[in-house]
Amino acid sequence: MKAVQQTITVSLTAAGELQRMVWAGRAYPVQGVLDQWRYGGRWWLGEAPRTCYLVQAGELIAELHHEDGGKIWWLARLVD
Amino acid sequence: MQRPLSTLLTCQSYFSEGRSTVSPRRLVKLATARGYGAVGLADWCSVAGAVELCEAAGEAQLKAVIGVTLPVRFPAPPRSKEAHETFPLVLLAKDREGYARLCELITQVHLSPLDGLPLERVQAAASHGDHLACLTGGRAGFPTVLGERREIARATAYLRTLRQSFPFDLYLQLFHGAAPNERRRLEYLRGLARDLELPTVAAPEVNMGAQDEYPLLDALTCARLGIDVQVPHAERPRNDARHVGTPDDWGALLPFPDALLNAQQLADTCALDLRPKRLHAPEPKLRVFQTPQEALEERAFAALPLRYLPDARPAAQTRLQQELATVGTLEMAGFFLTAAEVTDYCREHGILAAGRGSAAGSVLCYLLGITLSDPIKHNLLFERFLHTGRASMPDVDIDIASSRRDQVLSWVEARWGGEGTGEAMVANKITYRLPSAVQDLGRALGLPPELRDRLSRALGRDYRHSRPHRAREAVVVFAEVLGEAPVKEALLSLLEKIEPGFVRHLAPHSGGVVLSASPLTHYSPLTRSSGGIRMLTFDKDDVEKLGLIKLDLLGLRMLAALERAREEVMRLTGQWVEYGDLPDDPAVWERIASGDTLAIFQIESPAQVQMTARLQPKNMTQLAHQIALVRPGPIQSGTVHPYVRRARGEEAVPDLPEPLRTILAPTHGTLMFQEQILRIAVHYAGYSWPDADRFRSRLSKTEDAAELDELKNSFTAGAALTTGAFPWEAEEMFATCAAFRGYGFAESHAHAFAQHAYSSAWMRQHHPAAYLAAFLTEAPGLWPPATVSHEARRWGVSYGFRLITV
Repeated sequence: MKAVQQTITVSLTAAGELQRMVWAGRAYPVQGVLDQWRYGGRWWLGEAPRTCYLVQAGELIAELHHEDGGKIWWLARLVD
Repeated sequence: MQRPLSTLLTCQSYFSEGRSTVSPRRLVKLATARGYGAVGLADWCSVAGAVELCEAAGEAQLKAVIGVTLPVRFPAPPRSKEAHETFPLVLLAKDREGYARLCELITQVHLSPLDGLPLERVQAAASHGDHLACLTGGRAGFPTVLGERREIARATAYLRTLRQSFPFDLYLQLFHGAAPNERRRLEYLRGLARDLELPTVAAPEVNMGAQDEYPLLDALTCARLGIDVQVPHAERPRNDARHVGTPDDWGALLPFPDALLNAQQLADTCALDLRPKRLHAPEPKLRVFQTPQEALEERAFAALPLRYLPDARPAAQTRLQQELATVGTLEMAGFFLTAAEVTDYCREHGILAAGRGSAAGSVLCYLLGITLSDPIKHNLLFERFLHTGRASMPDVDIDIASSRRDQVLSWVEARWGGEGTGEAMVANKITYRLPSAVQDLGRALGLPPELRDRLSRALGRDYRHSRPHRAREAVVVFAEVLGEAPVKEALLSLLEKIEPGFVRHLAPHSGGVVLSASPLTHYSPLTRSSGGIRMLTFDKDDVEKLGLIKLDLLGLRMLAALERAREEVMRLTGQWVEYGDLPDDPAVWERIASGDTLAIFQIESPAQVQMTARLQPKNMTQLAHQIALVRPGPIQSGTVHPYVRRARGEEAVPDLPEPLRTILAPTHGTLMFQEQILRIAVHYAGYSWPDADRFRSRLSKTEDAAELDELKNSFTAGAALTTGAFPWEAEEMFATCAAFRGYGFAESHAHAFAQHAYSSAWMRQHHPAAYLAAFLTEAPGLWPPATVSHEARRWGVSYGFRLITV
């Protein structure tokens, strides 16, 4: 896995499922969610728990997350 | 179609000490609100929450499942570094016998120096019959851990070993911790079960009430592990997944119909209510073919003419017959005979002992010699002590001369201890207060010890006893010590999330001893306190609900002083002072009324001296009132000043409606005693005696505003129906009762203490030298010896030093 930690744009379907991610000026359709988990976060620094997704988006296998309540999505890591 | 999970089998409560944020009662409340049909508790090496779970589940009409999570030592493969490796197993009791097996296993863990229970012990417990079900554990269970290590053959071998002990009751536990690779892990566990032809069960690990308690769970875990939040540790929770959730959510996370069905079936099979339908008394010594009730009646009626003069005898006999009928209905004769056996032992060995508390309201206790004051003479209420609706043992507290208490405890252990499991101390639930919570959670947040100590000290008298959830009220103190550092806010928000009454740990009770005819491990695990005292893992309330007999054998220094003084009088004069039968001496009362009360039991503090001078008690009732008056309950409920003014004739007693007028007449229209709350609940609000007892108990303990509202509503509704009281009148009366809370005396207790106060004053009056010597030796008072000896010169006692050459 390669750490990226950049903000990206993610669009969702009407049902709230991941549809597409845009990273480095390129759009990647999300073909499937491979795994999903919760990360507790460093609560003592004010971080909120968040849901993380491992998705197959085009040729990428990417780990995404967004912070609870926020609309900002992060691309955390990519599978090499 | 998605199936919901109908039951939570493996919840943990705060009795797991640092592994959960929730009480059994709140678990039940949340489970009821979310629509679960059963709640199972599988605390870490503990069933201390079982009684609370059964009670709360009974009230909510939910099924309760009692289990435990035990660390079990499995044999490691050959050539491993260690001979054993410890993994948790969850055992659920299928019936009462299974519960007893759990208690025995937990006792073995507590009393063993090993870090876990040898697997053979679990196998032995399982071999006694079909009483236990075994789940393989959650995230730390061996199938998961060994699967992650790719030691599947070893996991398989362990499962085969366990299957021999639990041929029809071994379940592969499926859980969901919202961790990475959870789906693969579940597939692996199901595959393992399929290969070995074992059933699976959906049993999520639940340690929190709600998701937002994750920081608290993490901080408590860190406090337990002795690390701060910066240090990673495998046992720390990863996220907020382990909360109660909804049946549909868990059903979606564990969508396996067989596992969901098995959870339901296990809940049906293992549903258990520990609370007995009758009480269990230890075996008293009886003649052949004699029943305990016959023995009790024989002894009580024999004592009647000795204790009561002919003119008082008919009333005493009527009352005795009523009490004996109640005792007979509750089948509690053995309890009274046992308590009498203890006081008999004390009497036979010259040990000064006297019952206190609500037992002093019983004629039967008086006739058996358990208590020293006559309840009829002081109009004391029997129902505060015992009534036919009571399913728990009454309180019998026996004060024993502190210098001889160990002797009595040794005898009790020898008499009922049997093979070492028939006698043990009850536990005290030590709950979080602000200073202790600051210490634990502050350490988890990395606050250095000096800063934590400074903060604890700064909380001072104002906030020392506050519950952590009210920490914001002390925000000024936090700001003073921590400034505006971010840790202040983190600490305050953690403290606010601690449930009121959150149990931190268990410690031995000061004097509550439980006696049982059968081994106590049938009811509770046994453990040793850090001081080596053998104790149960239930507190006095739980023990009563389990139907066990509890005697409070409390050491009282004043009794030791009185006993020593009596011996001294006997040695010097040959005269025996019978404390239960002292003459009423006007000179003694005159001296008390003048405020000359130094070295007198209970009335020597500056507040009591001042009160004595104002009230000038002239008899035992007035003295009992005075002792009860300077207490937090009467002070908080605004009783003190009205009582004093009315007792001194400076203010008229207000014209209260009946039945309040009659109930409050002895205390000049003020609320002073717990018995008065009971009488008000019965005669004013229309409660039955059992309901009134529950009302008083809940009113004194609850810290929940919603519960207080509920009590108020039922009280005002009852008062309107019974006496036609207007809501505002009833609410005013309720507010007075609520302000009184748990910090007041039972009237019977006040009379028992008044008896000791009078005895000490009488001895000081008639045998000042002997009393002074005993008082200085036993030091029961609050003044330093120099003050007492200086004061003694006024009594006409002078003393000197004698050089003893050894």
